[in-house]
Amino acid sequence: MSDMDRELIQEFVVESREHLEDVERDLLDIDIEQSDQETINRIFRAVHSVKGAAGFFGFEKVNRLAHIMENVLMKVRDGELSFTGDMIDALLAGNDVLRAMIEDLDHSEETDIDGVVSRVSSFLDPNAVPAPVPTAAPSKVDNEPATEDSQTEVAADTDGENKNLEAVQEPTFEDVGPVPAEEIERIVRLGRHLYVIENPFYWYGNTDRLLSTVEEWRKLGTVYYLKIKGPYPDSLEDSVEFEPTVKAWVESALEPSLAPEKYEVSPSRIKEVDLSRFKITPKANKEQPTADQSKPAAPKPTPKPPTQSNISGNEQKKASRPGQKKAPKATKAHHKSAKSSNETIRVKTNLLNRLMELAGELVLARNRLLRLLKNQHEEIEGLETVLHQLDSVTTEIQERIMQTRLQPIGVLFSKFPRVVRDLSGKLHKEVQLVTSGEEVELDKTIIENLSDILTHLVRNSLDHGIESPEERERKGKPRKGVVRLSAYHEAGMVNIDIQDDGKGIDPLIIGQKAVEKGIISQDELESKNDRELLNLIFMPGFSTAEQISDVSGRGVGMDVVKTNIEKLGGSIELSSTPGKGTLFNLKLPLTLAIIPSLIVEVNGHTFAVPQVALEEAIRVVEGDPKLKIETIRNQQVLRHRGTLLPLMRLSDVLGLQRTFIHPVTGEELPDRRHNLHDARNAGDKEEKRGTKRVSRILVLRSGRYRYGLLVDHILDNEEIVVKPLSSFVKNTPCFSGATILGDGTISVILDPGGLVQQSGLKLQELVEEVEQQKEAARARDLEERQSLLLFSNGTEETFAMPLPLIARVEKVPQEKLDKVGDKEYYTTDDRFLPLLRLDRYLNVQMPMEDQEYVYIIIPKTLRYPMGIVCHSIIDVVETTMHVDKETLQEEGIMGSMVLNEKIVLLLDIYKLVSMAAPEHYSYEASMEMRLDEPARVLLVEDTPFFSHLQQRYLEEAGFSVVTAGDGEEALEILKTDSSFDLIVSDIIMPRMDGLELAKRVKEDPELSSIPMVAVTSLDSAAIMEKATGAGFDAFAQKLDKERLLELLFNVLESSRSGSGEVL
Amino acid sequence: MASSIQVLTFRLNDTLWGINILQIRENIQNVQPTSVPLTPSYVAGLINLRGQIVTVLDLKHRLGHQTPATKDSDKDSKNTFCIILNTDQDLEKYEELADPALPIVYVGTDPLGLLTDEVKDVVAFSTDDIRTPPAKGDNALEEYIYGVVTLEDDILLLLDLHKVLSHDT
Repeated sequence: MSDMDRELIQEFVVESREHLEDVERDLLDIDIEQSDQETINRIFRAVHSVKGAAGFFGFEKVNRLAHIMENVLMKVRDGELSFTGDMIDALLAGNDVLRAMIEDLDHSEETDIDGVVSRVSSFLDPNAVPAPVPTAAPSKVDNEPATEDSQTEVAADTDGENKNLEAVQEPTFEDVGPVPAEEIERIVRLGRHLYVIENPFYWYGNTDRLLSTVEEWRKLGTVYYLKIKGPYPDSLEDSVEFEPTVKAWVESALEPSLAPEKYEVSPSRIKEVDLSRFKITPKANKEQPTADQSKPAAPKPTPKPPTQSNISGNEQKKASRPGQKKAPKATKAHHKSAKSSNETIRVKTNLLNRLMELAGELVLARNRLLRLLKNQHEEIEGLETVLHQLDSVTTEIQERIMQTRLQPIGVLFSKFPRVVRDLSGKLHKEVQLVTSGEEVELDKTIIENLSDILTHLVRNSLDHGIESPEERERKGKPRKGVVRLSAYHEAGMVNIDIQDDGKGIDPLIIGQKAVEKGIISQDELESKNDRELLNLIFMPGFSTAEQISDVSGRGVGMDVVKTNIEKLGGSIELSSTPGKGTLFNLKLPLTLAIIPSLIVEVNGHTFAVPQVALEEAIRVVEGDPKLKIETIRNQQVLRHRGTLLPLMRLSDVLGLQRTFIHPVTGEELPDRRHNLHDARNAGDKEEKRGTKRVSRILVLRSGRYRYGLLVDHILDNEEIVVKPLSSFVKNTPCFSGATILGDGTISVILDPGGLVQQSGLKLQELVEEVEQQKEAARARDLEERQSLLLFSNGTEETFAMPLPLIARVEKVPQEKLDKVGDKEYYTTDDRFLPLLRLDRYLNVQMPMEDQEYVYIIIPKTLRYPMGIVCHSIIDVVETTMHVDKETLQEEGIMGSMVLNEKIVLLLDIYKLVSMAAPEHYSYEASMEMRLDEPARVLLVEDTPFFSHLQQRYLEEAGFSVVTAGDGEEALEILKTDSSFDLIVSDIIMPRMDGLELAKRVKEDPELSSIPMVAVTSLDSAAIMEKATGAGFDAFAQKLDKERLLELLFNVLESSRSGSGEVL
Repeated sequence: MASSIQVLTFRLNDTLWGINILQIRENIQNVQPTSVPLTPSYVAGLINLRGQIVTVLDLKHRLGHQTPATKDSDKDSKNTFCIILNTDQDLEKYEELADPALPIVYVGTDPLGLLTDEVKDVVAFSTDDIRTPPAKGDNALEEYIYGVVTLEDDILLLLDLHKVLSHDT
């Protein structure tokens, strides 16, 4: 075969592989009731492509099988046939065989496909006797003994060594073997299952263990036949050498999906015998061969060396799947594949493990050597080159050996479509599985151990996550739930997500359950946030299942899952949105043995920090003004690269702060000095001032959190071999192991996640806090803030007045106040200023005694100026106007608000002066006279307090007022009702601000004639300018009632008189 | 029937103690354990024994001899003898050699070492000589004593390894 051909064929293999993978996925996806044309077409096209190419290259069997599948699919596409469960199973079986052949094209012609061909073709014409299809090329039947005679191949097929892939799905009569007919009838009648188990003897190790296993089988159902084929295994070595096989027929009520687990064999070694033909017509023509088959079915007495000639590449792959922990490790190399390709060779895992260990030792030895010879580079000629070479070779050996153990996670994922399909049927749910990232590679050990974990989590998702189709419909979700399995690399770790769009998990329910089960106390429950609550399901003894089902276990679930993942050096996190779905995120190391790490020092102790967790190291010089360290909730955070990084001091977390015995009291006290360095040089302050202390912040990532770890020094980068810690040092979460460094000293390996746990750093709360602050800042931008002057009369009440309304405050001696009758005056600027004492007009406490000095607050813009007397000025605060107008209702008080946990009474200064000097304040009446007719005002204001207040002023002045909460609402109102005489609008508002509103109004020809007045609490020329630019006709201060009203009348008047001049 | 038993003897302060020789892998001297934060005070730290990490317990702390001296001075001078114990793997082999009067204590799979003041001779005696510890009730050490043997010129206390290595304190 020319290279050209080889290349083309290789291409064909790759392409077909993809096609067939698609076919399998689509077939598994198909909804029998309403299969969509799109999917059918896709399957059809894929099979068609494979068929065509196979024909081109002359792979007859591939071509023949694909052709017959294509025929069936064509009929389905054209509506002549419709999908049935059986048909999909048959097509899947066909697809499996196709894939097997594609993977081992050189032997594809030796593959026995008649069984599966007849099974698939039976759907074309149910009455037809399955026969070789026209496209088959009988002349091409090769001279392999197993397939020489197509009539007897079925027998050969099952003689134990020639395990064909299709035998998994394809029933043959030999399959029922020695099981008596009446037993078969019973099994069919009761809806039980008949299985054939074929397992290598060494799986059991010795006869005793085999027999005890069989005892276990008997508990599941009848064991009909048990035979060990091959020489009697005297020793384990023999059993490997000659591969004796244990073969048994067993019967059970177990579903096929559960059988391998219960019978403790790998799924490829147990097959269900298809008894469907016994169901309807026990004497159908198909059964004829029974007589012929029963004889050859008897197990062959003489063992023969395994030929395995029909085990395809795919089968081999399956045999070494990680899920099957005890997959044959030492089967003889396939003689034919060895001939055709020397690309792969089987190596015992033990050998690999040993190599891995040795590589680890080699790395250590290299590190030591490099250290020892650090200073001898110049003395010994050529040493440097040799060391360099040693260094790079060692590194590469280590990497390569590591690679041999890596496997794509796809081999694990590939078993899930079936798991999901079987399980969803059983649970009466409709579930689609979507996988991605199959190419991500992981250490074999990890993959092996992951199998159970992932199965558990996927089952969990199906069982507890995804709702029934009816429930989903009620909730407005698609009937079909989606479970996603995805793998990806992130920060040197492999991430695996198991995500469903099911009902999610309610943290509160989890919390309550945890309390019920005594896992946490009620107090603890209240102190936990949602995330912490959710993660309670990983606690021992917690099971979320309302009813324990046989699908997702017996409540041993999640804690075991978590423990197992942690054993692998990984972590698991759960997040969930009730009603939307659940996400399990697994993080796993690529490999377990050797990890690059950073060696750091704190207080004289060295520690190793795994590089995977390290994002960067920041050098910190004490007192550096550029270092932005802030404190939130007593937690130091560093503002770094636009994010807030919570900080922790490693010495604090590990309790390395030294204690000392007080010389006098004998008490043990914490040593407050910052570190060892300080302790030694205590008192030597002069020197310390000269040399600033330098430390490092390691930016670490653990799970979803980043934090900064403060250490004294970074010593080195080193690749370390992780060794486990003994139980005496394991009781803290801070350490994940220990290691021997290049210089022979020991260092403990820090666990970045454990440190968070140990420190009690509430990272989640911090993150939330920061979010809240951001949120608040955003809201603050929109909210009105008003400066208030707080003052008191020496009593318990605190009063407040808006600062913009105050002209000035004067401190005057008591004796400067003059009393005239019951009125008081203060002489200033040669004027008498009438004074107002709050206790005379408001229901507030009387000041206890007069002080030497009083303060006089002089409001501005009062037509009849008055001064308010108070005893002390407390403060000026800027605050949002969350005014409570209900609790304290009184004339002269606008309302109350809480500031610094004290109630503050907000004075209504206009009311107060009109109460104090009613003779000067009858202006409402007089002003009303200036309105020729009632005017309508649209008041646009987002802050309820200001809105109410202004509405009241305006209504008192005779306006009829319509309010809007923001610019957009105002426009809405104006759309239907444009008959306003005035628009009074705030400037800063959510959704649409006043400037935008003004622009829109002025652009609209219908509205443009309505005069607009801007009101704001900001007293700035810039704003005024902007407002005028946007189209406002006038501008006033909020709360400056008199000026506002005056302005409004002016505006109104000039607009009515047709002139625009107002200001 | 009485048979002979060999124990390795060592001193803690002024007391002579013994451990079944089957439990012991070797003795080493001048160890400088790397201390591990957040561990009980009786955990002296870890040492590198030919590429293996051994967890070293300070027997004195473990037995409640609270020496007023600071940890530093402990490290520097006195506690430099370290008895390395056999792990379960080795112990299985010795199971049949053990006498029921002083059965083997399985210590786990992690290599462990015990710091003592001074390691003395191996002493042999008859199992008949082992007496139960006197229950005086005023000695905190009592619970760690498996048995008492009177030697010619001294009293030997047999260390109850099981008790020493249990975690509850």
